[in-house]
Amino acid sequence: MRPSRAIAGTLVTGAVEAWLAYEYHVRGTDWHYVLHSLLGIGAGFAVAAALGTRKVVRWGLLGQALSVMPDVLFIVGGIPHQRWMDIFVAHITIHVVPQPLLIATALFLLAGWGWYLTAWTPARASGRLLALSGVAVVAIALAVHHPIPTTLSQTRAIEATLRGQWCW
Amino acid sequence: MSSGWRGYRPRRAPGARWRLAALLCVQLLGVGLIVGYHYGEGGALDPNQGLRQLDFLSLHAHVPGLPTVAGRPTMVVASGIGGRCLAQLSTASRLRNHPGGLPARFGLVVLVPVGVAGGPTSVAALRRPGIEVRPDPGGHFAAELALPGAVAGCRPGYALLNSLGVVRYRSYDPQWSVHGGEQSILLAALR
Repeated sequence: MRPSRAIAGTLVTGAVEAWLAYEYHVRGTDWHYVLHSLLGIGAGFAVAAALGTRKVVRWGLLGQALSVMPDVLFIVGGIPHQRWMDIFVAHITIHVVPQPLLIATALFLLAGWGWYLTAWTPARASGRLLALSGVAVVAIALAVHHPIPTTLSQTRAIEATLRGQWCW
Repeated sequence: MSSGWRGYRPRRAPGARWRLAALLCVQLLGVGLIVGYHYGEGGALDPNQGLRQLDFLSLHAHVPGLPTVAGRPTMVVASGIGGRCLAQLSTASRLRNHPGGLPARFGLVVLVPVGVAGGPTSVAALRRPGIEVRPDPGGHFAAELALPGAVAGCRPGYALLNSLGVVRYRSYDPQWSVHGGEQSILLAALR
């Protein structure tokens, strides 16, 4: 890649990232920015590890872009969240898994190191296994998620359960 | 004889150290973000977790006796008692009259508990332009809306109702007064 293209790409990516972080921040939703970014980048790392490619930056950014897409649709297009938006890296359900931020961090770290081992060392099988373990952590968390409340009594019950709990 | 990890030597590739350093930096940055946010508003140590709620219209609940404003999608704010809680009335006024706040095509109701110790006996003196102030005897409606903390703990809470009076969303949002844009998007989707 030519240096000018690399510089332009970095600047554009940085500007988009800064805009995204700002839009989350002014709405008081930094938690969502961190959650979806880590989950999306982690998913991108896992795909890069599975493919054995060294082009991890583009996969990480693609994962993040997919993960935050419903929020971008909300901010830019005024489209509220809907259940089908789970196709964007579990965007809806990830909010109601136990300890969402810890789960996203686990994927981010495990898949990141899995990619590194796969792409840059001979320990490719171990790398893929490590990345897969990150995906498995997310899959298990999604399988045991709290219900999304549809009634006010469910809302009360969930909040009573979570009250006083340490929650990431 | 050497086998497995004991005899393992990493493949030398140009710039391997830099790549490893870059990966470490990215991951440290990610972990740093989380640790820093842990102490921020809405973080794990923040008792008010309202900022974590997803703007998702998942509820379908009826609260008898809680009508909308002239059949419009309506935001219902549950207020507490006493000066600090009743300041939410002024906050609601700002939300209504602020550019980018809640447009007039949506109803805005503030429930004020009456008949409880320390509370007002009437809401007649609390009226504000653009806002319907309604009495909430004993905080009954706030409790029905799963917002008991608004009355008992002065937590800022609100619910969004469609034009038929069905509760579609409710939240303890500590920044509700500056989230008119988000509330408008949700209310517009309730038409």
